Amino acid sequence: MGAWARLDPLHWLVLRVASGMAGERTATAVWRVLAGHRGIQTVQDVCWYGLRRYYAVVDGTEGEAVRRRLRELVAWGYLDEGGRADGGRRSITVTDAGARALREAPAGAAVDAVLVTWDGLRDERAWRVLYPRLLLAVQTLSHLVRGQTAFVPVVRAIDAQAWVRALLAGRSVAGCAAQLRAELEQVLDGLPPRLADMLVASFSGCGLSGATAQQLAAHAGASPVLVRAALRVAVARVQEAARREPRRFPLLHNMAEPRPCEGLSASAEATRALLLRGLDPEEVARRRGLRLATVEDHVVEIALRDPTFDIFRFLDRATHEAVWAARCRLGTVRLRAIRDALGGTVSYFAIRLALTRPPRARAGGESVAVPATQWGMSGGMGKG
Amino acid sequence: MNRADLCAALERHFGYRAFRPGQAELIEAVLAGRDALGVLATGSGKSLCYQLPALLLNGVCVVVSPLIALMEDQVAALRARGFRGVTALHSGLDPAERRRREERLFAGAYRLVYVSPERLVQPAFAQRLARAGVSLFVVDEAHCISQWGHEFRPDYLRLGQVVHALGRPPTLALTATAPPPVQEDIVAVLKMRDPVRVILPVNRDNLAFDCVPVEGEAQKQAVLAERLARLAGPGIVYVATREAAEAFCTWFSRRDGRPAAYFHGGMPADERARILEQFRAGELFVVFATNAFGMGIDKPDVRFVLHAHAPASLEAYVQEAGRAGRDGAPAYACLLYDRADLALQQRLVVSEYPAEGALVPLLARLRAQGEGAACLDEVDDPEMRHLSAVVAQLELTGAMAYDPATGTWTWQDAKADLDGLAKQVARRLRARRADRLRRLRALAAWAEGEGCRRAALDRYFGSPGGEKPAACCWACGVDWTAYADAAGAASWGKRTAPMGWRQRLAQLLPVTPAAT
Repeated sequence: MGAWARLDPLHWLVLRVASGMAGERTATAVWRVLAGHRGIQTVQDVCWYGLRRYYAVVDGTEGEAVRRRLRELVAWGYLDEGGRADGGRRSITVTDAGARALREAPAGAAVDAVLVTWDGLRDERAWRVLYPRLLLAVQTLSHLVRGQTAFVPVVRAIDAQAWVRALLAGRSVAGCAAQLRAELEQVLDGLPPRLADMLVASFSGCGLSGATAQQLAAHAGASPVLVRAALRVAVARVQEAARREPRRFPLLHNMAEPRPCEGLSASAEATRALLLRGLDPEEVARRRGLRLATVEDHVVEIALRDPTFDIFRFLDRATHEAVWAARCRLGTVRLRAIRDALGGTVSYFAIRLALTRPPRARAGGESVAVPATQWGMSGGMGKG
Repeated sequence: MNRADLCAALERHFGYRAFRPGQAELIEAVLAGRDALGVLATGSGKSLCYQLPALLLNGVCVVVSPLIALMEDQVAALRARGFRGVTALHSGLDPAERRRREERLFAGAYRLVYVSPERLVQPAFAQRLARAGVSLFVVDEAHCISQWGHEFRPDYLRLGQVVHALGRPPTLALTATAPPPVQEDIVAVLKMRDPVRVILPVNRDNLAFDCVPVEGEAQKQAVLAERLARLAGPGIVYVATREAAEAFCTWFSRRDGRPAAYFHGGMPADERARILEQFRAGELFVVFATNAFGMGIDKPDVRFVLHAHAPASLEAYVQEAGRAGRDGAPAYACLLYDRADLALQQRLVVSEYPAEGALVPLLARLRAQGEGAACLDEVDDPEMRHLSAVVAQLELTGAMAYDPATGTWTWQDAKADLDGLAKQVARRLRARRADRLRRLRALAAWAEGEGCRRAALDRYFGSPGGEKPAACCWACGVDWTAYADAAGAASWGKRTAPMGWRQRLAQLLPVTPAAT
């Protein structure tokens, strides 16, 4: 067994994301992908480097743990921090030893087995919005059906508290509890039993404390990182079922609160609504009192998140082809390199927008260096 | 209101028949319109000193609290006891929720409101609050006011102006750990007028202080194993780092089947909430924790607190050890004292401050940036790790305006002399660092000193000595086996395998599922 056997799932995730970024990004960019940052740069990285499966799979509080893994991977010779990313900052590159470790470490197969259905861009909101609401709804109803009105809520998120308050306003507690239990039983029936067990074990209620990932991991003989990832997957599956069948799961559907274009900020959603009414970016910026650059960020993000969004309203096809030709010839998504290769005549906005859609004719062809699946265009990615 | 009426109110509202030491004096002072300073040991019932007056006075009692989590914990705890007229206002709320709470506050729906300092210093808010009528102004964790306090918060410095803007209601400052210079700072910053001072011993007489000198991890583990095998739980083992919390927990769980968990600030919030829930419910024998395990532990029956690593100061030690035995029953605190751990703490303190040579480039970056967030999530930029420490000092020099409500700073003077500014900041940071190292040395002196250690604590904190208990300290003699679990380790049972999801869901929601 090689030295790579010491890689735990978090090491592997760091190495995997760094590998996907092909030496063009910094350690911070790796962290932002794993932690699910919602800035446009991170969303671009996720799409351009094919990292949807690894987006938003660790918690924002785990920065120190990720930092430690980064240090260890550098010390072991799996990562090299010597490169230069855009803006002169240090980029990280996976070394040959690191690439071998990535292929052969057992942790990799375990991580990918858990995350096989996870698409972070599509699913992260389930963890951020649906899960806290679900935890608090179960805990609250568990107490209320027993006549207990006083308890310490396990979730402090204001959104979740407001949602549960609204759920209970004017409705019978018993009716709500019965509805929630029925919907959960049906939806969990469709999940692998291990996932369902894990998810329900994490719920707290009257006289029943929820289990932590550490405790579930100890019981399952797994790593807490994998258990947290599995919990995310379980919640995403609940969300998917609730969205697919709103009439069958009305309460969970309402809890998941589907958006027209999942993952967009409220501001980007407002921009999208105006664009769909036929306004151009300049007009949107004027009406909304935003900088044009902000609206252009919105346009790129909408294009990345919504595969049906028509980018050719804002971009001519010749530019699109030229950007892709340069991108394939250079083998990079560094914007400055692509712009220089095009003689400095194409705007960064146009390049970024073009990169959201690989050319159809070449998707399986010889000149596209990046597999189409990495761009969220096939294999169950990018839906809904 | 005389003492008998006060006792009746205490029983009516809280179910207690008698006050704990110091409580009645502080409550009587504020009910009589006096300012008051209370230095009461951790777990001695500080919150009641304003919660009861909040119910007895007309108007709203405003409590300034340093941390959002602490505020929300206090609100949740009060609501869990059926006290509904309470809320919290802080930067963690989205604007709609904050507006909702504020409208209810100004409509008279709350008797008690926890507020973060940054919200209070906003003049419009303070004016509306003043119009609503403030019955009592309370500063919790008041040691944060002092630059020489161990948890200094620059935004606390403005609270003196806030009291004035609120129409000078009676002011109550509460802390568990304030040596005399810090007490004077509190009185001065809050501009308190001839305050009633209730300064009690920082330690409770049911808590025995022990210390075992150790050398190296093997010896430390041996002592820890011996104590954990026999002490009655539940208990807490404090360590210096997150990694150590996880490692000690794994080490314990491999050798002992009793339920244990680790807790630190690098864990997701929902997991931390579950550990607290389990600990409160008495399901955990021991929690291995960093100093993040403190807020929200309102558990009276913690039987032991062990320190596997020395904490950063005597103040921190007293606060953490004081989480044992709040119910008044015998409890045991033990410091496993290894001089090498002091070096670890020293490194941790030093690592929180930037090298002086890095200050000018850092300030240049901040000036060029103009504005930004004080808590960056950079993982690859060592300079930016020290941003929050530097921003706090720049704010004090006036070079930077910091808005705690949004966590953002703005550079104030584009032409500022960076060299001069860097020197000022360096001087301030040196003073802060030296002060923290002094506190660490005070802890070492206490651990290595001779004579009664409880009396030494009282001397350090300037508090009067209480009656010497039979189980006092290691210098006077403590038999730790007196705190052993008579029922033996078996009384805790082993953590059982989780039940299947259907069965658990039925227990969580014991109703007949609706037809769908």
